[in-house]
Amino acid sequence: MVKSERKPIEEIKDSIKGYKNILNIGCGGCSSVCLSGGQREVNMLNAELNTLFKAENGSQKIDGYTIERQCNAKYYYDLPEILLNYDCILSMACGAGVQLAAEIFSNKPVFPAVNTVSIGIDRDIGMYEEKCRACGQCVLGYTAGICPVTRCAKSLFNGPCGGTNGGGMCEISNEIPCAWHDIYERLKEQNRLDDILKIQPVMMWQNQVQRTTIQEPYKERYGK
Amino acid sequence: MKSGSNLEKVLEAGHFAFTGEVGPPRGSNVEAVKKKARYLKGMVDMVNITDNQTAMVRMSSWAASLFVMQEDLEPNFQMVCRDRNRLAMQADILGAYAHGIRNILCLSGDHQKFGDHPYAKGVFDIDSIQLVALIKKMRDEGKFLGGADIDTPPKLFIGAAANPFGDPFEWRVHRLAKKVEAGADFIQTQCIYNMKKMREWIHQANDMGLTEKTYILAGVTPMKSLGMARYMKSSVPGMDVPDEIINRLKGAEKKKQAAEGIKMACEQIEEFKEMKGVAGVHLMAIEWEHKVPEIAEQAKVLPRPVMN
Amino acid sequence: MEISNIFSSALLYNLARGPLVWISFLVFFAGSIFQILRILSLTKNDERIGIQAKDSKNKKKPAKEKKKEAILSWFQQLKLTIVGVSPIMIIVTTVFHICLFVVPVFLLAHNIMLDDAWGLSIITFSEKTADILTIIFLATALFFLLRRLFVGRVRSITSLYDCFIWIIATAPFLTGFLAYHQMFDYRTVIVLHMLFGELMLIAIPFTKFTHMFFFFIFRFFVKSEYSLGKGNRSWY
Repeated sequence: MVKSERKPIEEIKDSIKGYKNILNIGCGGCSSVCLSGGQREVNMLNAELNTLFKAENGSQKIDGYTIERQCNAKYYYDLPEILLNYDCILSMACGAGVQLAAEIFSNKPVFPAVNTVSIGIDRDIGMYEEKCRACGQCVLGYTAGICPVTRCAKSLFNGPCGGTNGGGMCEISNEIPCAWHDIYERLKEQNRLDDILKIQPVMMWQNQVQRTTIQEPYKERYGK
Repeated sequence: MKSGSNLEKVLEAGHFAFTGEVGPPRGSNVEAVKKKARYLKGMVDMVNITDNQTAMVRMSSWAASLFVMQEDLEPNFQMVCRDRNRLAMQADILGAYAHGIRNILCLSGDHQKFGDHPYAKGVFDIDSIQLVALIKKMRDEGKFLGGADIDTPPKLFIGAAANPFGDPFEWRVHRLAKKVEAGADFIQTQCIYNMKKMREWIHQANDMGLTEKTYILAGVTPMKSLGMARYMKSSVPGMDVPDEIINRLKGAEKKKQAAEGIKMACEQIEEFKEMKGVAGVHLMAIEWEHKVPEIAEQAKVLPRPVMN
Repeated sequence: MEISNIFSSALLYNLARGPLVWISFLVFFAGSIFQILRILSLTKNDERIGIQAKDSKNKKKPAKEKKKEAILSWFQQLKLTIVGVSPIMIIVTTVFHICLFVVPVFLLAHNIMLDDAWGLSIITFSEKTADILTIIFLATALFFLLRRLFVGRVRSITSLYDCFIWIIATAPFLTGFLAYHQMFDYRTVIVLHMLFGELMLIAIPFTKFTHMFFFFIFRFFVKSEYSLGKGNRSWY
């Protein structure tokens, strides 16, 4: 799922300065799963901000409300009435949710409280690894299921660069494994080294333009 | 003749090639480039001009190459995949060729994290092997990557880099094969200290017939001091410095360490002259260009052949 | 014989203060150990995933991060937990559990018998203190009963089992209290007290009273979003 990380509190506080009544909208989807913006995190952030507000001047106040998901408009149904009492929205959803909220409530300022990091997997409680950059042209089939775009620091498509350290680590850090070293090891184990023997042609980058995805069975509905 | 460059002529004639390297200045200082080039004049067949090496911004490789040509030295224009997309690459290739540059080296480039702009966006639109194939397509088919015809195709001598030592070791020679298949005319390796592994790698390359399809130039960097040896062993990515090197330098007095380093480099060059599959040596005397004449003399690679 | 006579019979009296004591403690200990081992066997220790380099050439230790001053005081942090959501329930249940443990263990009457039988002399409450604590306990138990009967969302999930559990937990204290104050027929009440106490001991490992140990295992040894310790076990 989409993994995100809460912004530093100073940055959040700075972005909402000047607004008296703020509503912090949490997201029950990806933000909850990666423990960055669910109901519990909304309450925690509100407690911190209200404490800071009180210490300052006491004119600002923040309340919380968590909805199922912020990436689908139908989950916003009870917000318009609630928002009558607020002059600004702080959203703990990923970038997509913040944008939808800003679109639906176009007359109210919407501020993000989290930085969307990546599409990733869960390693352990609170630890998440980036795995996918949504390039739109998945090549995982020939790289033993290891993404060269995401995991290789240089997004190489043809084998490791000359910087692989002893122990198979990427040149930029001793803690990051070299993706191509791992691809080689795994393909060797599965006897599929031929996949990377041939030269992979240049990538036709699909993610340079905003994409609207319409699934095949629904193409007729939208006149395609 | 694919390009008619001096290096190509030297290699085709069967001579043992000797090339050097120059790093452009961290500014627009023309004299700095020319001064370095003057040290190498007559000492080498061709000189590499690095491209924002270790991701530190310097005068661009093609610009410095032009100044080097003014000093009657043949440049090897380096292009890294980190800084340009495929459009800019093709455009720069055309411009460089139009100005008289005849050699090009295709590299991935050190990651931007190492340099003075660590949060810059690394382009990496295509990788080094795809770049080699791109230039070959421009030269031999006369077409851009997108397929359209080129008005006066660039005839460049295409080079690629090879690192015989990175992990996984068994895969390195296959990567070399891919570069050769993509169209690399010559290969320059990273600086070699582990001669044992180098012999093994060359042996594998010979077995695969790669040394008949491409010219391999072995990289040599003389150690200036024990400190440099230790630094290269621990902090430079992809470097394999065996303990014998460290010990030999330890054995020498501090003032004599540089001379010992040069002596070791010359011993390597002697072995490379005899090694099957090695067509020449690429000397990387980083920030030590004034020593190149002395090293060339000691390595007995002078005089350099003059090709017409 | 009337029912009250059954309970005051010599047989039951001697059973209750004799072999049944041994049996009930044995079952309690054996059953508890069994349950603890069983629940632990359903989890395994995960390898702690550390962000350590494979063979780190970098000998420098990471610079110690300056501990950021917490914006929320410990009390404010507490309010963000269940304590802030249901404060009364938390207070009541804390008092309930403290008394549940403390009253039988430090009761004068129990410890006199312990001293007589095993020579173990442990500290005790004064009788007045124990009495007050028992009343407090009974009050909190009543709170639980009323909650279960009159709060809609709790009643909807209540069954007969839950009522029996309440009885098993409360009865030893109630009968003990009555016995101490010598209300009703002492003999009957004390036998009932012993029997209920033994029933409770036997019930602990085999009913939801196992939360006595499971609470600590789950909260401190098994990892989850709400765990309180650094436990690294996960379910199979």
